Amino acid sequence: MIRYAAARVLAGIPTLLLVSVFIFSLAHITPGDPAILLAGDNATPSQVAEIRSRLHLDLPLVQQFGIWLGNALRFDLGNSIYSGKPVTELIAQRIEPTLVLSFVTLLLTVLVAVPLGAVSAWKANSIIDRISMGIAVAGFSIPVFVIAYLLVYLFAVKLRLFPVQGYKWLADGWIATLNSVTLPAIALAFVFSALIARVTRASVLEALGENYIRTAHAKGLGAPRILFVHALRSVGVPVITVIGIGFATLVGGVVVTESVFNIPGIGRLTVDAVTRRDYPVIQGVILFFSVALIFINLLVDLSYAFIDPRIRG
Amino acid sequence: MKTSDTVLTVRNLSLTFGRGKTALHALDNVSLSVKQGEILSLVGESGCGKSAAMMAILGLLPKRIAKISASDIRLGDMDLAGASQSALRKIRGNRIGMIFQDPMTSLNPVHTVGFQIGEVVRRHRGFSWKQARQQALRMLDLVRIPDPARRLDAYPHELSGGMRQRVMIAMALVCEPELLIADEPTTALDVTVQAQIMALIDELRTDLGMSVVLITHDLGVVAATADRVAVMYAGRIVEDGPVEAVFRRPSHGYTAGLMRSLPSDGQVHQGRLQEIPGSVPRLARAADHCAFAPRCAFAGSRCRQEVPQPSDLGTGHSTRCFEHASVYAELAENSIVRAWR
Repeated sequence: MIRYAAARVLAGIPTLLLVSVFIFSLAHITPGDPAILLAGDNATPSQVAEIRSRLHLDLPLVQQFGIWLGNALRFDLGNSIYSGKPVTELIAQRIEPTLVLSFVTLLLTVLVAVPLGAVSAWKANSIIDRISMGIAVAGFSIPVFVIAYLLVYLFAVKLRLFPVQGYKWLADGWIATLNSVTLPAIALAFVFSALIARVTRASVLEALGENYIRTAHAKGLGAPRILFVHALRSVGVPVITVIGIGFATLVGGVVVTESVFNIPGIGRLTVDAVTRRDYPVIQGVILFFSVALIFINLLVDLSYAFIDPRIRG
Repeated sequence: MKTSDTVLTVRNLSLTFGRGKTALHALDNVSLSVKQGEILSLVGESGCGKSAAMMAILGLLPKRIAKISASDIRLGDMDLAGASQSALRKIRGNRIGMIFQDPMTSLNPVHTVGFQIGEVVRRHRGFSWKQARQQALRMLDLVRIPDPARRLDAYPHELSGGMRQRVMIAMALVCEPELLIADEPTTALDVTVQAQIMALIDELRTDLGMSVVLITHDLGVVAATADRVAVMYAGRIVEDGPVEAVFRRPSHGYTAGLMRSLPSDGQVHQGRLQEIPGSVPRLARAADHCAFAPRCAFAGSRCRQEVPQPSDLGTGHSTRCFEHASVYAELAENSIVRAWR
């Protein structure tokens, strides 16, 4: 088990290295000289040279990468060109709303999509199955901002159940926080659920044809127990896998959703940074999302061992 | 025959899968009974309806595709034919235990064997997890799994094939059912393990006083363990009776074919074993003649025109074969028929 975990952790390192090469290159592939840009319109060549040497832009690329990587490992991702604040500080300030939103989305998804998929499999080709899979297809095909605005119109403007936009910090009470992220989380979960519900349905449907399900019937077990304890439990690996994969698509959704609902999270930071061409911040958020995804995939890998005894070895 | 010592009674059980052009007629008026403490063996080729009959009795076939009719299905004095699914659920695993051919795939890979045995008594006896665990331990001991306390927390993939089948048996018997349905319990196992498993089933039958329906296509297993045998072909029981009577006086063209395809013991066999040409027909409707006639060496014109009705050969032995006299004469002449026990 420990060996398996260690192997998984080590496997994440090359991925992370590759990602950092990409992020580092980003600033250098894009056209324009950042030193000239920073120096402004009336800069003298000596001022530009000074900035260039301060930012180590005069050094060979490999050396620049080494310095950048070394700084990144010490949580120094440079300063925002726009505000001058350290990138890590900007990310740290924005991390809470994004984490809360992702967590609530995940919770909603798992509580809705997984049972929905399982029940659809049990009642395959029935009305329930067709309706829920229809909704799943809709969730898959309708862009998240459309769903978001529909939810806002219905539940915030018409029914006045939830705020139209904004975020309440956890420090000001978690109920208000939950209230403020409910609509964005539903919007995100709608998209996120589609894939998970479909994969759950397919996996459970396959499992229901297995011999051990026949055994469970022969033991006189009831339908819920057969479905959830025997069929669903045994397809934990594919379902968890697709939840992990879903997180990657969730990143894009978070950016859009935070903009629609005006939530000051990492997604908004990303949008702001991109519109201002604030390269250090862009690099920072890409690195943040990459590390987060690698971490989630690591958790997924490690969870296999808990879900399926045959993997423990 | 008193009803009190008959554990399972089935009368005129018919079964059709699907409808219209794709319909498959699986069972045609199957009648059988299992007495207290006896082993009834259902024999026949794959696809002849052995398993389907038992699944139908237990209500394990999906209603959407399986159309079942029977004039009577009775467990003890309980009517199963008209029983609701929830009533049948209380029977399955409780009064009727079932084990299957492939113990690897028949056990859930993600739950421990202790859990899988324990949940049966939790379901039917309302045991707590603690009691269920103790009961599971006793069962593992009963089916002679070495070091049962340690095996309780083992997963199926950590056990050998024979051990897994023992777990299946423990699971089927944990509620001390009056009937065990064993669907080819030894087919997926090594020959030496086969004998152990059959010996175990036989022994537990005596100890627990239960009856067994043993589904198999292995006549050797039938001869060694069963009390009575019912030979099935294309959804019909074509011959049945006490094992000794049937083996001494096989009286159906199909039974004869089965026996001929066996290697005779104590003899070195020359060349190929004799096979039955062709395969079990897939019928859309019940055949209006002897279904075996197209493959039968003894078949006359009558066999291709009407359905043979059971003829009584005495001592509970009956056959559905017009040519049973010539079948027996031929087998006796070629010394295929021997004393089996």
